[in-house]
Amino acid sequence: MDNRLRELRAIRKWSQAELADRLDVSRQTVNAIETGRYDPSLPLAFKIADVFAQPIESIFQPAAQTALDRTQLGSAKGI
Amino acid sequence: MTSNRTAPAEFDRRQNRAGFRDAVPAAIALVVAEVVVASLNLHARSNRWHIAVALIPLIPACWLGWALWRMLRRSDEFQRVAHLEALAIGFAVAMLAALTGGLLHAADVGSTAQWLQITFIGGILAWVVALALRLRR
Repeated sequence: MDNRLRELRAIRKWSQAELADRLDVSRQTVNAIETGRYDPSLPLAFKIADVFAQPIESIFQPAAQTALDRTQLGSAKGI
Repeated sequence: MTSNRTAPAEFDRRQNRAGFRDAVPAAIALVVAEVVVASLNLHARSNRWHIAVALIPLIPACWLGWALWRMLRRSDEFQRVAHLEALAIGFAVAMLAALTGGLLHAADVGSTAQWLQITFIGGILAWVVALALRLRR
């Protein structure tokens, strides 16, 4: 599963530790989610969506969906 | 500027403090019990209570197990998965080492005590290494 956690965190200028504090998880967990080594549970995914005030589907997407979006974007741009 | 600073989050600090409080006294008690029982030769057969004395280190070992259980309960979801995977790997290595030791012992290689020590240390090492790899940054 792909996610925009790093991007959203960067926009808010939060460190991984600051985000971990807001989610009440360890910094290792934030890092593992950002690097795609771990997919969060549904309750944690909802908590992340709540912290960033975004719908869950705008943060997490299936890997295939992201690849498809990129392909479609490439076709639209004529790449 | 976003940073991936290595400073621990409050969750980590809380967890480290509690883990230290739980595990360190148990580990010290285990080492002390092992040293006292071994150095005073208290489990010599001449002692009436040699079996009970030989098993004394089990008490702090159980205490350490309880500390591990509490650490698992305090972990967040990613850490819990990592801990359980590492424990499974440690268990598999210990089982393989026990089987290997048994087979080699049957072939008159090494003593039971040596193989038990190798099994114990191998299991612990495999567990710790697997956990470190899983929880790496």
